[in-house]
Amino acid sequence: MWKSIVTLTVLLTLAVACPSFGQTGAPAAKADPAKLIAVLKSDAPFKDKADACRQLAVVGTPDAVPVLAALLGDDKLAHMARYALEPIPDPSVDAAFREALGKLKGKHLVGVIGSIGVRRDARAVLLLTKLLKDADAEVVRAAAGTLGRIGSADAARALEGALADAPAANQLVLCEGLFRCAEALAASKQRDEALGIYDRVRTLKAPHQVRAAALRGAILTRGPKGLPLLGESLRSDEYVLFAAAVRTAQEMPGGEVTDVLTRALDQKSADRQLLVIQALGGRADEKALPALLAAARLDLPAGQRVVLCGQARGLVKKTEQKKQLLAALGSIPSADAILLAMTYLDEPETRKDASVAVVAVAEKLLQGADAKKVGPQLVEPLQRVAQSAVDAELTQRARAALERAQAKGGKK
Amino acid sequence: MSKHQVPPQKRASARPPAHLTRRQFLKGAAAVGGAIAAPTFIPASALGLNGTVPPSGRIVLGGIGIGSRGTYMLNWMLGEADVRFVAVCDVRRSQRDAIKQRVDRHYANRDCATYSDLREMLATRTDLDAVLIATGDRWHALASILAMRAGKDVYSEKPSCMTIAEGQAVVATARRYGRVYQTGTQRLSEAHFTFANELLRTGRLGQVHTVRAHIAPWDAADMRHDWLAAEAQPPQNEVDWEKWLGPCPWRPYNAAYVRGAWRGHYDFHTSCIGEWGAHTFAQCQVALGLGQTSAVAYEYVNNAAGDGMVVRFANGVRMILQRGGWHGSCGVRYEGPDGWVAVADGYARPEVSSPTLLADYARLVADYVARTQRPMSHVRDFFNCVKSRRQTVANPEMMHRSMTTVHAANICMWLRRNLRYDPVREEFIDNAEANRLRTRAMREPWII
Repeated sequence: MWKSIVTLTVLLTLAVACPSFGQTGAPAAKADPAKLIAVLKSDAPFKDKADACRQLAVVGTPDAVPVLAALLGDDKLAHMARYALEPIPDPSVDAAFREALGKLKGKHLVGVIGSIGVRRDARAVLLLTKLLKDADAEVVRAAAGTLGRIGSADAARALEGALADAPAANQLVLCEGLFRCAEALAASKQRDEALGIYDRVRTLKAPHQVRAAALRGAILTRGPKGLPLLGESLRSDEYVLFAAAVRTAQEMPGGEVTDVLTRALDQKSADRQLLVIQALGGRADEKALPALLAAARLDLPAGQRVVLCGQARGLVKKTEQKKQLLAALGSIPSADAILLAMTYLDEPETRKDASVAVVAVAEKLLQGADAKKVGPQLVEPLQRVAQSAVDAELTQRARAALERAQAKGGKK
Repeated sequence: MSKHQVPPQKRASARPPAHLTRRQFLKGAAAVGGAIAAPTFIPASALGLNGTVPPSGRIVLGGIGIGSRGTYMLNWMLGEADVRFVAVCDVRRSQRDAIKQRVDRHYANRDCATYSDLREMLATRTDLDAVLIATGDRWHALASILAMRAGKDVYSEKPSCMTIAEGQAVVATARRYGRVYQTGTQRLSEAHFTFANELLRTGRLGQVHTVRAHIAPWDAADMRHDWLAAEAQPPQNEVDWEKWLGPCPWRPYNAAYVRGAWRGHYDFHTSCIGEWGAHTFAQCQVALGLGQTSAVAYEYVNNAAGDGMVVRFANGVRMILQRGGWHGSCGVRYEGPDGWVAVADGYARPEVSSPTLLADYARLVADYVARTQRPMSHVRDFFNCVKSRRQTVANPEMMHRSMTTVHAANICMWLRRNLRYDPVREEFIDNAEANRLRTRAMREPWII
């Protein structure tokens, strides 16, 4: 009888606590925290308690904290207790998590450490620092990550101290923590401290992504003073650092960065050249245009010149620049050059230059060994030029080329 | 190959003037061409380049959680000549084995390695340059973050984060390590959708005031919180249930979850709004030039799906969530004073208010490709960016911001009230409950 009454009471409590719209456990704002706490204190089934935690995550008040904190070591409900506690905006939650650090072990401790990180509780730094020497590697890694999320200068010092004699397996997470600290320090105007971290990590024998991240941070945190390091890294013998520098340059605004990239065009391999050219092309900075257009006029393989023109295509704005680009395209024996040139056929001020480019390239291609293969692709462009009637002579050349293209297999 | 695609070979190098002789340049270029053509497989890691693949190199790829959608993506990626798939990780043995068979058949060898623990694969396979992540939604962000921390570039299926906090973490991690990341909103690399975006961008529709975004016609915005009936848990080697759940709250095993019935459950899914909104919100926001921000206001609608919800951006443009009225999937429609355009999968051509708008179809798409140097192939864009270190078209910030709009729309439905959001501070305005729903505590040992 008594058990039935308890069960009925819990069910009624759940029915009231849960909103009408969703199913049990929906993240409702209207649920009554007191009734949800009552569920946790009852002998309700695990599912009901888990659902109560889920709702307390949305509506929980400081009253719920002691009840939830008592569950942090519960094998079944520890996670759901944190699920409820993490978003409650009250300092008693931080106190409860800090207190739990000294009581828990294993996965429950790892979970609480993670929650402290989510809440960025700076008062936990000392406790977490001690855990950097824990025998449980998972705990050490969690503490390192959380110190990083806290991101204060003393958190950074703790991580640097641990890095000195850390096993290789922990190096990544310690560096991750340090990067987070550096980001937080840089954001709070503690630039020198942040730079110190990046520069120290750069000297480590570490995996490629760590060295790349340290280089990125060292360049960006220096601001304009990072340009020499950027330029130097664009000449690095290590492809990883060179590529990281190219990537970093894409995060940096300003004509000075364009200048650094332009000076770095002189690379010792085609692979590296391509990366620098594409980074330049993506800058939306007209300053890169002369170098790209000049390169596109060189006697190089057609495919490479088209790539250069493609990058330049994204930068040209003035009519004169468009004409320079079209002149370059007109000298490239490639169907892709025609496709690029055609994008200017509809603009009155570039129509003639685009037509000249299309016809010139088509004529070259039709004289080449691949004329039969490429002929069908030329029909539409030549038809458009022939119909545009910008110039009698050009129209005549276009028609003649069109006939040859059609004879090569292009449909009439 | 579409005429708008730029073949990988054509992306081989070029050089500028004045610094290097033509002979030197051609020497380098020949090396590039030679490497692309070479049948021998030499991973970049063997050349001391792990973590960065030069344009002439091959990308060594692994897969995490490759189910049906993942297999579609895998098949697409296997077709790329400069990609080599070498390892798969899945908590389901049957799926690990199936993918291995598929890959080994493709390469006519037995080399594809299998893993059940992604941490092991990421830590030990230093030869992997990139990973394809096609798990269920619950794992997308966490797996992406772990992979990027391990120095891998990431192609992640959508919806690519379960919460706003997860999206922020993906952005921060990609930025921190300079990793290339692409979310699987592949319509950003398809011609019809690109045409619609270009119509908007070039002002052909006038000042667009309203966009409509398709949300999935199944499931609901109200999520399931029940558990399927408990079943006997299979051996860990068959299905590692703990790892399948990953960061989500524990619940008893039921085979249906593993077969795909996780959809619709709050812990595992982002609702009918996220299912297609991950695509269509991204599509609309990129078209509007708002890919780096999120919507600012959400008007609750009293139905189960969020159908008809009006979402507003800071510039006044309205985005209406629309479930019906399309004859294809993942549709978007842009409306301005001078006309409209609508596109969805399966449309033979974009629908427009006036046929004259279609006249420039080819030119607008070609112009986009020429201007942006983006191929009309989403995976190709990813692989090109892995090599060039350029941002992808569906980069982390775009993913996070459009998914923030998804999450905020969901939270609006769950709380049954209008919401305002500050995309700079990334918080809801005057709504503590909504702010609490920006994050969910991860189950130990998972931490981001």
